[in-house]
Amino acid sequence: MSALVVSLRVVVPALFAVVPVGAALGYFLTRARGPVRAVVDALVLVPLVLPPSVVGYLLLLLLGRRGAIGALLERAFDVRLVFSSAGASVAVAAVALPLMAKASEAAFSRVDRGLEEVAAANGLSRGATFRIVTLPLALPGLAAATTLAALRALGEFGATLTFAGYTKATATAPLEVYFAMQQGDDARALSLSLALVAISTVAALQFHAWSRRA
Amino acid sequence: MIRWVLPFAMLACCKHSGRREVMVGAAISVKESMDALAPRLASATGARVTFAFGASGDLASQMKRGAPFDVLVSAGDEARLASIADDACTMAWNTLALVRRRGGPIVTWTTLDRTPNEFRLAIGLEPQVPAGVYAERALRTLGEWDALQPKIVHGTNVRNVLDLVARGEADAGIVYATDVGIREGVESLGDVPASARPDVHYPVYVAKSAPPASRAIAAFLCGDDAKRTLAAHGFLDHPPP
Repeated sequence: MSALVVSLRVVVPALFAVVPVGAALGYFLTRARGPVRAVVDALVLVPLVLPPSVVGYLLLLLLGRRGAIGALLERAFDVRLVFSSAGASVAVAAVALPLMAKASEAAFSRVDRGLEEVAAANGLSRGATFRIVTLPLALPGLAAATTLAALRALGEFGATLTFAGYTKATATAPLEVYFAMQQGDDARALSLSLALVAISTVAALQFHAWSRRA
Repeated sequence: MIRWVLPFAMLACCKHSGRREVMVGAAISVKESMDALAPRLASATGARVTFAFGASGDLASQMKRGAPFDVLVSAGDEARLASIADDACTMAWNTLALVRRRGGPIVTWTTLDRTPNEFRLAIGLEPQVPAGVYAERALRTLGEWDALQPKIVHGTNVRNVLDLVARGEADAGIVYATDVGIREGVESLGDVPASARPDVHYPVYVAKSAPPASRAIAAFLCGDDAKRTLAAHGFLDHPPP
């Protein structure tokens, strides 16, 4: 099951970026108003509905060795993303981030604004109100959002293959299923598929539990 | 009700009679040649031909699993098709070329193992991509295969290998000599040395269940007319000397 290990190596670092950034975006979307919010909302939504191959291709143009940012990364930090597990993490993060942001927005929007106003009226600063009132109330919803984002990241296929390519470091479980199947290795394709079904089912049940508490 | 059932009944009854479409799977490396041959192939054989291109191994896997390919133009031998298809004839021969992005580092076939650690050599994903299988064979003969392992990255078909080189994601790649001119900005660093040259050839398989027109298609692809077009695209009509 080395493919599941590769998946973990790709997904976990991605989540370290996706969860805080996505939650912050979600919070921003519930509190901001006007055209800035509309633009941010659209920017978050578009990657959610784009084909993963398009996300991967655009990442390649931007972060590939000849891309504007990719060339810079290589010159400054000697980092090459294509064919590396970091590259796969970037692909997975790009696809999971919008989901985290939208689900976090839902979590924050369910927090009773009246309670925040009470806290503010009692002299709590905005930071303290967020820490003591908003965040604890949103937490189950954020946990549900994290579960959703983690599942999307674990199941990512198209952007990973298009951007990071298929090699030892990027051979996540979804890619392995595809290439094992292509090689006629049904035992491997099926066992990995069943493992993914099992993991997803458990996580979906967990998602349900978090959502009910939200 | 008959108004609803009739069209479907007609579809069911007549799909297998008369001039049915012939599905031809073909190695992606012969795509341009097949595109050029398609009109004459249709008029010479009277068949309606639909092509599907991809890595030969992927196409063979699909065929083995029941994909309705009547003819498969493979870039290498596919032993697993023995029970469901006949090796009708050999369409063409080819050879391997080492390529780089124009302006990239210059390497040679015999010094690939002495490249720096961060050097990336793209080859086709084995065993699905014959170009990768041939590349491994050549690199083994040259005694470089083991040392090159950490530097090898894979393309999902030979044109993907070419793309990785064109984009600079790989420093060099091993493709067919006929692929070199396909992408602008890619240039050959030389054909594989004769001493390490694998026998790159294109067998044409015809499914045992294929309609009769499939035999004619195979014969056309291995015939003189096709040979001229293939030669114009750089393919050889005999194994290289």
